Amino acid sequence: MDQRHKDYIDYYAVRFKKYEGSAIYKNTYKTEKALYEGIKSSATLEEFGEKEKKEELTLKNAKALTKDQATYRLQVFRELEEKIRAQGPDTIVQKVDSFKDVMELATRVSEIMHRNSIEISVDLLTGNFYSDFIALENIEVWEKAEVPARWKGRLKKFIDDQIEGMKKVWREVRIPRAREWDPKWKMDYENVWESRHRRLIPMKDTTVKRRIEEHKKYFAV
Amino acid sequence: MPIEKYLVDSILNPFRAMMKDVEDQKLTGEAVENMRRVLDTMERLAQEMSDLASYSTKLSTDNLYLDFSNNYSKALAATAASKTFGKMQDDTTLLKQTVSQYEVRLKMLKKDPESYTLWPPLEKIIHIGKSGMSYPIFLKMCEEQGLFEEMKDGRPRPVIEFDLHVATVMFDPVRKEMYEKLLKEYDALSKKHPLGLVDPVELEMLRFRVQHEYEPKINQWEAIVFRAGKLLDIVIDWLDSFTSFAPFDERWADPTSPAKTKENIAFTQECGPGIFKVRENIFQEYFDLTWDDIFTHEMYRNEVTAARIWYSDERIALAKATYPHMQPGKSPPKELIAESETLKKENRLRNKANLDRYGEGKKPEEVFNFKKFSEFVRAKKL
Repeated sequence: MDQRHKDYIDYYAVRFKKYEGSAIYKNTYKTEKALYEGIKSSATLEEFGEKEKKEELTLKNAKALTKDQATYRLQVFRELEEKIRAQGPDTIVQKVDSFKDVMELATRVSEIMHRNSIEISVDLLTGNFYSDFIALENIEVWEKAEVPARWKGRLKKFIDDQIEGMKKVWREVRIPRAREWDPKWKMDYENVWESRHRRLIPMKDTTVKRRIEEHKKYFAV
Repeated sequence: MPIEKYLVDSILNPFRAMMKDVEDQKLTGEAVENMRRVLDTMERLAQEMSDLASYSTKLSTDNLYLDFSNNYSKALAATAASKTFGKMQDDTTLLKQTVSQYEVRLKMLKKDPESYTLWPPLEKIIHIGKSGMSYPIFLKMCEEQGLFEEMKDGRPRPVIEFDLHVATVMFDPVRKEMYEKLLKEYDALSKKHPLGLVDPVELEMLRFRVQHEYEPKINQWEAIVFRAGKLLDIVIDWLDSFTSFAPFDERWADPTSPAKTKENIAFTQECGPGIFKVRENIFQEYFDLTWDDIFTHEMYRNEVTAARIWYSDERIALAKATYPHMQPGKSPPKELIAESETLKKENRLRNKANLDRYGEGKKPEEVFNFKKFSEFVRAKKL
């Protein structure tokens, strides 16, 4: 065995040992070890080249690494109830074994994560609801405040201006922007109750329920 | 009107650099042509569109970012296709090309001082590559020293330390606690690795998990600060509307019409208590906090420490004394009005600490005393 071959064996040994005992990279450890054993058991590097090609060792290794990383991300997103973020890694885990070569793997994984990033952006638009709480509070204040009769007209004008202003924001900015991501997007109030959105609103459920009804009443366009 | 050139450059320069890289290597083929076509489309859209956010969204939803990157990968892969174990492998050429690519990357990074922590692993890789050893030994040494891993994210600890530093300087206790926790968990992970490295995916999910945990508390904190501030403003405005200086105060004065000024003052005097009551009820519904709770809440104490309370201590005391009188149809006692007038006369309306820190003419770097990231890292020798 020539020195160059021995040096490559040493290199592949360092690679697989890196993953020894890893709770995340279980598959990668096996495929890295397979590469090491393949090169170690070959009489020459050329023989290893043939073995690597026939058994697709590099492709299996790329798939294993991709699967291990996607599995870990999926596990964390599921634990945190981040359903939309979980979709990307979930699709990768399901499809990774079907890819025919490393280039297809890289391309398809990029496409899956890109599509998922758009799904995440669209889902985050639900946050527009909480952004409008200040406007809803203003309307409540002007509606309920105990004031002399001569000021009722002014408060009514504040309310009308606030409603018209917010409708304009939705009509001219929020909905057009949202539909750049998803042409059919509309505010889905049921989504507010999903834990990934609900946890970001620091008010009680009774308040959120009330504000949803007000939001529909005042700002729906 | 096209989007501002400097904004378009910030988005397209990385893609232009990749296109130049491919052209400099004299690569050809379908993938290269596709790259050119996509980049031309990106450039054309930048001229046709006028809104940056819409432009960026379009590049994403039309898959232009993705198409360009995929074709770049294909173009590079096509040149590497001949470098397989099946053929006679020229390690010297491989090593030379590898080192050259890292040199190009380092050169690009060094244009941005903020990428400071990414330079050391690249410098070490290049040094090893030029030290005369063979390609497999080069690869082995880089792996053993964790340089390929380190190169992906640099050493992330300085980034977390910097985030902690900013949160501390900005008197943001919730984010401070968050970054302290992140740092502690990062160190625990780092200790498990013989070289002190943390797997980039593990770190990515650690960051996500910790931020996920703290987001609700951050939102709650900010919601309380904003609404408590509003309640304080209403009480103080109501008291001041009865003073002799009210007609000259920007809160009510209308330079075009004394009649409007008078009307503005009357609105505050007569509607302030009713408006305050509803806001106070909302505050209590949301957070189970009363007016009195504001002044003992950790949020308020933090705002005082941060010198963010605009009002002087005497004015806060006046606000507390005014609160019981905030009833529809009522006025504040004369002595409280007189006290406010005295504070105005003696220029004691504003908190001195707030004025010292945030007063007119202060530059941002004087107000927010934190360094740029690269300076922070250098100063701490991280």
